[in-house]
Amino acid sequence: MGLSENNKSKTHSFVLKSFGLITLFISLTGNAAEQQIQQQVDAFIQSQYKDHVLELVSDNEIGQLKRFYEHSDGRVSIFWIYQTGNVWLEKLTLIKVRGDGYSELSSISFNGVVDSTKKIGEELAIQLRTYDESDPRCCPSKKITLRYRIYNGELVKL
Amino acid sequence: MLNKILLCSAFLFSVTALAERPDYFNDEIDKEYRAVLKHMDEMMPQTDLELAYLPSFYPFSIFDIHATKFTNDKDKQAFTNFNLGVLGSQFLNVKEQVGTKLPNLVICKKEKCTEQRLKLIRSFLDVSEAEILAFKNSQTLKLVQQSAPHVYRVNNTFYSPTQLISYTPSKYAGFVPSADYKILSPDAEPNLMELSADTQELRDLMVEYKVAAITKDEYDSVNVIFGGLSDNHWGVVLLEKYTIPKSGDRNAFSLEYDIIKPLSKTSFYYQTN
Repeated sequence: MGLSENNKSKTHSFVLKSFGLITLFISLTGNAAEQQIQQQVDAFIQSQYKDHVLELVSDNEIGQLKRFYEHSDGRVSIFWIYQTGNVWLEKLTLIKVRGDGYSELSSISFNGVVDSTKKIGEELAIQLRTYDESDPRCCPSKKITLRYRIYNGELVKL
Repeated sequence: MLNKILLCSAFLFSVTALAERPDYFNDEIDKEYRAVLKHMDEMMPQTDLELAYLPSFYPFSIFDIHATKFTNDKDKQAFTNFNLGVLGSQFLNVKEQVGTKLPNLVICKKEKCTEQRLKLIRSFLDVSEAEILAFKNSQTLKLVQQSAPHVYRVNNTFYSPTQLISYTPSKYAGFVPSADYKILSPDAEPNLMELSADTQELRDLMVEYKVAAITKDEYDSVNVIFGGLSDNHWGVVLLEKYTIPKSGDRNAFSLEYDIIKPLSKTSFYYQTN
């Protein structure tokens, strides 16, 4: 026996509502996960700020976020700049976000300035300006591309 | 590179236009100072962040240039202000009015902040006696400065995990840092790394108690500088000889004492201005 027109319409409506609710759920949980990752990346950057001299308006150690990428299993790669005294380092740090916190898995420093970064699958491609023989410390000019892959919580250079 | 050269030229021109050459500069000193400015400009990457480089102006950090061969106390002190003005306009990214008021941040005239400072000084002195004594008795150590646990200065060498920058005072003004420098690798400099190891315990305490720098003068008096900008320093001096100075006297770097509070027969809290 086939469904009446009325039953067909009800079934159709039920499927649509369910689909809508599922989409909303995924969207909300997705946003929540994104927010959680953003919060933990911010927390990581904030943890780099340290003051070693009293009463002044600026911290002695500073972290500055450039960008970050999400990977599988809550791992996040963060490109950032560490600065203190006369030292200025471009860094890439891998963290794992879990619950309300994060743990730092590994970190590398680049000898130069990171011009651009790209995530291709689970690989990271980095356009770096590194030092040619006559380059002053401020201004590296030699362009190279580096590739890294995450393996067992480590950043492995390819 | 051409852009960089043009930028340097434009910068040096603007420095000349903004800050008139001080009376105590002659042609040689002017040339030396311009060479230091060029070196600083080539060393530090440009940033738009406000005050990101402020810690580099703290006592004996990289932008706190000292004219060690100036013989006139007033000239030495005036130069510290002049230098903050010149390098501050290039690296601090704040309006001129803000820049000129920055030293006020390290001036304390009230009882409450003075008490806080004295408390910190006493806590530091309670735990650092052995390390200060070792510094005082060392034939080679004259100055230790810390920016961070792995970034610091011992005498005229700036240390970082990957690189050492060692400065020779300039010929006429005795500028340190100067344009006469060597970039060295930690692995290839056992003598410099020995100085680093010798100061490790003292530097750990300096980080913990937020001490900016510790210096020793020709009479072996030790100056523990907790903070400061330009000619405004504060800290404690542990005397070896001589008596406690009075307000208006000058310290070993020709900075004029504004406030003096004796802590014992051989030590005193100070603020210079």
